Amino acid sequence: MTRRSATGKLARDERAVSISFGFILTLSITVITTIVLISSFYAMMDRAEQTVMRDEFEIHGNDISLQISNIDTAVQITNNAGGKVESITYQLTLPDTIANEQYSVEFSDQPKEIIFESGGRDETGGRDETRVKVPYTTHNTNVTPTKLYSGSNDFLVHYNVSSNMLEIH
Amino acid sequence: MKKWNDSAQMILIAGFAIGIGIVVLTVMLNNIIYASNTASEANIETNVFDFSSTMKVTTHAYEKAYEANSIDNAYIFNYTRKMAESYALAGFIFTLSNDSLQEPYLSQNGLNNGNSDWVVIDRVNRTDIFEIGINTSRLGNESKPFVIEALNQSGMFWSARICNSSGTFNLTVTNSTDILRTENIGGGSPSLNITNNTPFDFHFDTLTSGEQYRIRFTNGSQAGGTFSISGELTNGQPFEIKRYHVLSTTMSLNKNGHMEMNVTIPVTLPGGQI
Repeated sequence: MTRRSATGKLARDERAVSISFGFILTLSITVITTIVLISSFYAMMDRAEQTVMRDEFEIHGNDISLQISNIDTAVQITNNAGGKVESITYQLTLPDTIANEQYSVEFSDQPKEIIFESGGRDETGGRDETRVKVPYTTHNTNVTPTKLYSGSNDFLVHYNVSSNMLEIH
Repeated sequence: MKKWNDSAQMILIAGFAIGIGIVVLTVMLNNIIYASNTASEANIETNVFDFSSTMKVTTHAYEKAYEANSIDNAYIFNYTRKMAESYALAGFIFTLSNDSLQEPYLSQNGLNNGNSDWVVIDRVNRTDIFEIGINTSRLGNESKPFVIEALNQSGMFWSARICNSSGTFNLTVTNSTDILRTENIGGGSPSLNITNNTPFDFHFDTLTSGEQYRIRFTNGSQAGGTFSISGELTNGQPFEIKRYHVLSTTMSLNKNGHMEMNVTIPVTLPGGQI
């Protein structure tokens, strides 16, 4: 009898249920909203990181492309003057990491492109999001196909006189 | 009492809104700062046009410094110092050195590995002086004779072919179809005055008269020698090209250790004005 009356009282006590249920509901909504908000900001940050990385790759790619063209033009000017290039060496200064990621730089001869790739993978597991291709042009010389990995400050673009090739190492 | 309660709810909602606003602002600001911090400067060196003009200026300096079959070293020293000073402002170290004067070949750059077949002068209206000195000890054989040609729109109409034919140094003058003359020019370093017809008639003046033509050397790297040519171009401008010596000059540009460039350029002296 006592138990039934207690159960009936609890069932009828709408105020207490309302307050605790309301609190749990509010807390849950708040937590879920906060989690959704924060995770969406993380996604946004990741996207911004990739955007920055691509911009950086393009800046460095264009810089290298310009230097390759410069060396090629210098060789052409010297050859046209009947002269001979003894040596041309250009030191590439590339940062160890871009947007906190290691990266690789590939020099392709056919087609003539400099391909930057980030060491990190994006959320889909691929690298396409951060892969940047920058074309370069040479008329007299060719670039030895090679792949560099960030981490060293001493990248050199060297003109090999005997093979008429630009070697990057 | 109820009013106060309602106000408290509003304050709570406002508090939440402000809190979320602060979080959003912080994350966005952090994003912006992060993006701007990761952007780095590109290190661009535009040196090619400087380099091209430096080569031209250096060639010109050697032409100026050439006096009476020698180089005025004081002039070159001064030039090097001035160039080093002006390049120093741009962060470059400029150095210049040269070999001694050498007897040239009749190739485009004056060296034996230079371009053999080349046009000495184009769009010629009249040639007043055309002297050439051949070093017969550096003359090619019959398979690679040194040839001087005058060409107009229709092709070659005068040529002089010089070669070493088993120790005999033969010169053959032809027009477009026939051999006009064959002479032995003798050993040593004979001087041939083509416009003055010395030591024999080259038929150059008579055949080139009234023509507009260009003068071409073929197999120039097969013959050592000097030449001097002057006259008038079709536009009425005078021209003068002389080559008595060739000198190899080595130019070096170094920028902060980032860029090093060493090139050797032959300079034919005393050069000329076209």
